[in-house]
Parts: sequence; structure tokens; C-alpha cells
Amino acid sequence: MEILLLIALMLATAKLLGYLFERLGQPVVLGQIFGGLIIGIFFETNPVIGQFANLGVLLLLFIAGLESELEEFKRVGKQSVVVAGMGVLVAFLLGFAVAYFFVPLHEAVLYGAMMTPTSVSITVKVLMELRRLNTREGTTILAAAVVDDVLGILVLTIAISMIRGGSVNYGSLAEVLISVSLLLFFFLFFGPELAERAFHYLSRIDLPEAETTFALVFLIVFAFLAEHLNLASILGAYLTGLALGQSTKKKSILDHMNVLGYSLFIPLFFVEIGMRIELDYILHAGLFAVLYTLAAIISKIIGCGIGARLSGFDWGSSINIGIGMIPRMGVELAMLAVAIESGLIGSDALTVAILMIFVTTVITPPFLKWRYSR
Amino acid sequence: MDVFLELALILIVAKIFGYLSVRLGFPAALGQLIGGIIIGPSLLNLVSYDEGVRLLADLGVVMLLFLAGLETDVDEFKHVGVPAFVIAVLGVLIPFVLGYLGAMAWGFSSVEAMFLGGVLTATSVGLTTSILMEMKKLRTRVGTTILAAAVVDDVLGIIVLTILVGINTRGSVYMEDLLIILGEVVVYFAIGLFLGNPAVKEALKLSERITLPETITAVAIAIMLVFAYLAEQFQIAGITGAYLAGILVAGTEEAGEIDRKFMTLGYSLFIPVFLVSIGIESDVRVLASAGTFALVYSLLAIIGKVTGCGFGALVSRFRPIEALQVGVGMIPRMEVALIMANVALNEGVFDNGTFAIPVTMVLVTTIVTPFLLKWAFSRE
Repeated sequence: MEILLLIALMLATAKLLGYLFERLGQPVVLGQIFGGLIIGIFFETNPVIGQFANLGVLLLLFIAGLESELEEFKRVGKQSVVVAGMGVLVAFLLGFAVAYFFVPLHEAVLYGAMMTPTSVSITVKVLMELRRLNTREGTTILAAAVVDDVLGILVLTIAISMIRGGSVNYGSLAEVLISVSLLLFFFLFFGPELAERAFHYLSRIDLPEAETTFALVFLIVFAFLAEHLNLASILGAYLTGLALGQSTKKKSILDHMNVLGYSLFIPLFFVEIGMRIELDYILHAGLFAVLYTLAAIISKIIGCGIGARLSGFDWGSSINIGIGMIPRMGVELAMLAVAIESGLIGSDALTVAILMIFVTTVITPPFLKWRYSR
Repeated sequence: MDVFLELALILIVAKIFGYLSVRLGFPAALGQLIGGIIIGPSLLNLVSYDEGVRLLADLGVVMLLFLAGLETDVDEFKHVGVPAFVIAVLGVLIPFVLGYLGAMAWGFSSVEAMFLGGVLTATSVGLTTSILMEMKKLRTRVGTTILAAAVVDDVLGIIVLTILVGINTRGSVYMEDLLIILGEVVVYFAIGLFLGNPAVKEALKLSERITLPETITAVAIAIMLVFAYLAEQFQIAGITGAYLAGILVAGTEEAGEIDRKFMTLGYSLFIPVFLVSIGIESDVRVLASAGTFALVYSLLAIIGKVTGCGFGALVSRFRPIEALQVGVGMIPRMEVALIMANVALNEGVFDNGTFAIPVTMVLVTTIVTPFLLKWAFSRE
């Protein structure tokens, strides 16, 4: 039963170091990974905790889907789609280009994809402080982040599916694109309605928390399905969240899933990542990690900046929007964990990803403040 | 991924069979138990019951007892101390004597008979707790008494086991073994109450200041796990430790929130998995090959607790119906009984044929408890 103690330790560490890092202006996730790094010196992670962490990944993506305001999509419309789309495109290309010189081709595809999703919570905090959130720039960033989430997850899923088997399989690209589009279509058009009916029907089961349990069941089943269609399980989890998020059950499911996710499984996931990092990887990451991180920063400024300029912002605002889209955080780590799990990439990729997360979140606030103080 | 699919199946079974059971007027736990038997190795054999699912189930029962502790009326708990002690002692003594005499009469050797008696002493209160909670009877004098008696029963069970192992290996009871065990128990509860109480308060107060989502719940989970882990280090059952942790947390300002969050956590995932897993682990095929004695023994297990604990309750001035309820609540034997039987197997006292007898008894007591509890509580 040592495992009970290990879980307790991981949880306490996750919350303490996460909080400490937040107070220092760093991403919470980074504190949790750092905590895992320290625990990893003394204890080894084990397969059962690995399974709990995997459930954490699925919950993380499910919650991300659940929280997405698809309505926002329709309201802000084209502008943010262009901003997010350009950002994803340029990030993928630049990430791929940098990685191409350092790693095998199939890994380079994954590195490119890993660079795409943005995580704007830091930006939102800074803009709030500066009282700029309710400007056109602010709302564009918020909406673009939603689009960016979807696009990023799609790009990563496609990348992961393409390189299954350890090499880039162009032949499967068409197949993957078709199944992704079908899945997306199915979930967005029929998902909410089906979810509504299913939950209406299931609401007859008046046992405590039956609704949460069934949400969990749907999440698992669709994650499994996506995996079986040779896509990634996380896509299934995300889309399930997205579909349920459009139903009337959104709020109660979100509340309860947050408890399940954030009190146990999600923190375990981030700490477990830290435990899996071997210290000498960090020393070896070197030049590649630095260049990759630089590419992560530049690609979003350029990509989202051009996107914003194309949708009619002036250059100054465009650059602000680009900067706002720099930070990366949890989602790509979840994807990366999945890729490592299926043996597509070595765990040294974690080090690179973590440096990128660290630098991009740390530089964004001062960068934004400097821009707005001029 | 296959593990998760198995988990999904278990969750569906839990909710659907639980629902059907409630519709038929029985506790949900009964349906979940039966659902587990159906998908388990006895019938359909759909689940491999892998380590990850097992941990979820283990955490489920730990959470259940933690919740029970959280909902315990601490004043009531203090009042039922003496009755609980009397009930537990008689509830250990009478089943032991019945099991021993029955086995002797059936022709087992005296050492075998002693172990067979010993196996009957240890109540596992998880199933009863879930049913009482469902029937909203946990927060009554009967509910509190059952839980308190289960704590004493747990300690008595370790003592019985120590005595038996001593007699078997060295021919007599060794006082120092008993003193060590008692010392460990005392140390655990002393640490738990005197160090644990302020530590729990401080930890929760600190967690209030951490603004990350669900921090209080996460810290409460950590507290629960530490108490359960330490209990096992001191030879006490993990669930007893979790129960103690729950009682301590109940006295803090955060108790209300933690209770709500644990209900979500417990009932959406962990507790249903625990209840279904009892069914999965109950291989009803043993019934087919069970000898007559296994069934007699199971009957003795039921009668022993009902009369022993019931008599203890009557002596402590419970009403007869309440005494019956307490006795029935103490019937289920599960992991602790199996641990004892395993010790006997490893010590060479039991052969595989004899080992099947306690296994049958565990199965029978588990299955009859939901029926008997419903019956006992509907007679008011």
C-alpha cells in the first residue's frame, strides 16, 4: 500500500509547488512538473499511477472541450479564425523546420504540431490587470484561443496518426483527414442533440452522481473509439467534452468533472510527467531546445500578427495580439504524454516542451506590459 | 486504453444494476454486487480486474469509510464508546467459539478449528456502511455504534490472529507479541488523535490559502491516504484509519465542503467501482463445490455475529430491534477474514480444501447482508 502514500505525496506537492510557482508568476503546471522532478529522485512512478495519470489526460481534454464556448465562435467569427489559423500554420511550419535539422522526420512532424496550441490564461490575467481585456484586441485573443484549441488538437491528432509506426505515412494523411472531419461533423452536429437525449433518458437513474458517472463513461467510450479509428484518444475526449458542453447539462457536468479532475487525476498527471523526466536529459537538451523555444515565440507573433493585420487591425494591435497568443501550457503536454506512451517519441521531448512552456509563459507578461505602456 | 473500457463497463453495470435494485426495493449496493458477479469470472468473465481498477476499488472503500467518519456525529460517537466495546467483544467471542466448536465437531484438528474460529471474528464494515449511508441510517445511534464497534473489532481481530499464529508456531501465547501489537495500536491512535488532529486542522487551514482549483479536496484526499497508509503500517486496517481521518476532518471548518466534494468523487467513480468489485471478486462457482461444512460454517458466521453483537447491544440497553440491526450490520466478512485464512494457508494450517471454507463464508455473508439489512431496518 506504499502507493497510497505516494499518491498523497504527489497531491500535496502538486498543490504546494503549483501555488508557489503561481505566486512567483510562473505557470502552475511548471511547479507541478518541478515537484514531480524532485519526487522522482526518491521514488519511481509505477504503472497504476501511470493509468491514473492517463485518466487525468483524458479529463483535462474533456474539461477543455466542455469549457469551450462554441457560441463565441459564431459571434466573433472570421477575424479570430484567421488569427488562430495563421498562428497554428506558422507555428507548425516553423517548429517543423527547426526540428527537421535535429531529429528524424516523423519526430519533426510531432514537434511542429506540439508548437501549435496556445494557452491564453496568462494573457487574460495580464490584460485584466491592464484593463485591456474588453478591448477589440482582448476579445479577439479570447475568441482566437478557442479556435486555436480546436485547431491545435486537430493538428496534433493528425500528426500523431500520420506517424504511427515510426515513419511519416503520407498515404494515411487522407484517411486521417477524412475520419477527423467525419468525427468532427458527427460531434458538432449530432453530438449536442444526442447528448441531450441520452442524458434525458439516463436522468431516470436517480442514483447519486449518475450524471457524472455517465459523462465519464461517454468520455471513455469515445476516447476508445477515437483510438480505434487510429486517431488519438484525446481527440475523442475533447470532442465528447465539446458536444456535452453545448447541452443543458454543461454546468453541472463541468462542476463535477472539475472536482474529479483537479482534486486528483490532473495534478497526478503533471507530477507524474515530472517524475518521468531524467535529469541528464535537461543537460543534453541544449541548442535544439533553445532554438525550438525561440521558434515558438516568433511563430505566434508573426503568424497571429499577420492574421490580425489581414483582418483589419493596424500593425501595433496586430503585434499585441501576436504576443498575447505566445504562451503554451497544458494541452500540448497531454498530447506529448500520449505520443510518448505510444512510443512515437522519446521522453527527452518532454524537456524541450517544458523549456518552451517555461519561457513562453514567463516572457509574455512583461512583453505585453511593455507594449501597452508605450 | 482497454483498462478504461473495462472501467466504463463497471461503471455502467454499477449504475444500471444499482438502479434496478432500487426499483425493486433493495439497496443499490445489492444490485451492484450482483452486477459484479455477472460480469466477473463466475459468469460472463468480461473483466480482467486489472491492478488499476483494483486500486480504484480500494480507494472506493477507503473513501466510503472516510465519508462515514465525516458524517459521524462526534458527540454520539463518544457516547457509544462503552456499548461498542461490549458489542465488539461479544461479537468476536461468540463467533470464535461457534466456529471452533463447529469445526471440532466436524472432525477438524484443534489448530484448524482455532483458525476457522478466528476467521469468523473479523467484520468488514464497508458493505454495511454503503448500505446504511444509502438508507440514511448511518447518522443514527445504530449506525454510529456499528462503525465504532467495527473499529474495536478490527483491533480485536489483530489480537486474535497474533494469538493463533503464536500458538501454531510456538505452542503457546507469547505475551510480548501481544504487547507489541497492543503497543502499536495504542501508538497509532495516540499519534492519530494528538498529533493528527492539529496536523489535519493546520493542513486544511493552509489549503484554504492556496487558490488553485480543488485544493481543499486534494489535501483532504492526501490526509485520508496518509491515515490509511499509517494504519496499515501499524497492523490496523486501512479503512479504520480512513474512518479516523474522517472523524478528525469532521471537526474542522472545511468539513461541509469536503463532504460535498467527496460525495461527488466517491459516488461518480470510486464507490460504485468498489461495490461492483466485491461482486467481481466473489466467485460463486465455489458454492457449487462447497461441502456441507462450508455452508454450516457460513450459517455459524451469520448466527455468531447476530447473537454476539445483538446480545452485546441488548446488554447495553439497545431496543431489541436495534440490537438486531447492529448484529446484522456486523455480519459481512471480507478482506480481513481472507487475510486470516491466507495466513493459515501460508502457515500450513489450512490446505486448499480447507481454505475454500472461509472463501465460501465470505461469499455467503456478503450476499445475505443487503437482504438482511433491508429486512432488519424495515421492521421499525
